[in-house]
Amino acid sequence: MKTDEALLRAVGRADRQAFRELYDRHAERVYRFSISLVRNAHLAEEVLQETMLTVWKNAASFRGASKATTWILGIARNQAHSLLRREKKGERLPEDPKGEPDPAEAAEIDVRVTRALQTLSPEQQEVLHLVFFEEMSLADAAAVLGIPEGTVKSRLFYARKALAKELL
Amino acid sequence: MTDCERTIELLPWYVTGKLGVADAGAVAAHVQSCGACRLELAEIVWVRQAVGATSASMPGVRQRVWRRVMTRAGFRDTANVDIGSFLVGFRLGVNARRPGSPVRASLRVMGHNVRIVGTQRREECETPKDAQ
Repeated sequence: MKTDEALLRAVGRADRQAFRELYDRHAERVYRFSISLVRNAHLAEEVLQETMLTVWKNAASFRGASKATTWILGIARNQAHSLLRREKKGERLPEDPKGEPDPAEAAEIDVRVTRALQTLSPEQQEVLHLVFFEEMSLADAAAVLGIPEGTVKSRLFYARKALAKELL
Repeated sequence: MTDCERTIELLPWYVTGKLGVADAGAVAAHVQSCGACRLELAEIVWVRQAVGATSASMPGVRQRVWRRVMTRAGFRDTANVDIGSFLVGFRLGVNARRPGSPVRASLRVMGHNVRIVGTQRREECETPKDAQ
């Protein structure tokens, strides 16, 4: 089985098969990370779509200085924050074209925890997701977030304290 | 920095098993002897469980996202052909995509579907089964 890094190099040479394989490996991870930030299934799909397009266009520039997962989630983070900024400015965001029910609403999510997470800032939510769900090392989380390791530690501390305060 | 402060900083990665042997050993030894840090540990375990359960219960990615990515990435001029029998009938499906003009042709004798050529929405042009 090819490594993610090898797949990315192939994608950089416009290999569609490799792109499909990379998508299959990472789509779920990118989607879950995105939904932890934008808290909306349709917006998370938009983030995933833009992320994978960016990967397709920029894979040739991947130099292997970081892990492929870290690189891809870093792109997803930028896309999600860009979307949230547009939302703050009041720009119209994509809607579900078919008017289908939001699967996030249909799923049996612990409502209490979800609501508590929503009270946190996007920065706090993303660090909680990367460390506790993705189980990333300190160095990898810092690479995805583009912040020093010390900032990851303090941000995580305040995030979990805020969440515990809401729930306990 | 005190032992407690250092331990509390590392506890999240202790819980997820991402610490090196030396750091993990130091954290374990400290937690054993410090009640306050044991409480922190319990809280972190609980928060991790809550975040993990919420993230795990999220719905999966829908297939349409890949189709949109594919379309926007400019994957086109592909064709799928689906020929075979379906129980007592015969099925022939052709699914070709050209820039801006998805085309479909289908023939299903016993199932009465005889449309030979037709256009369809780009999103529907992905899989051979769509060509039935």
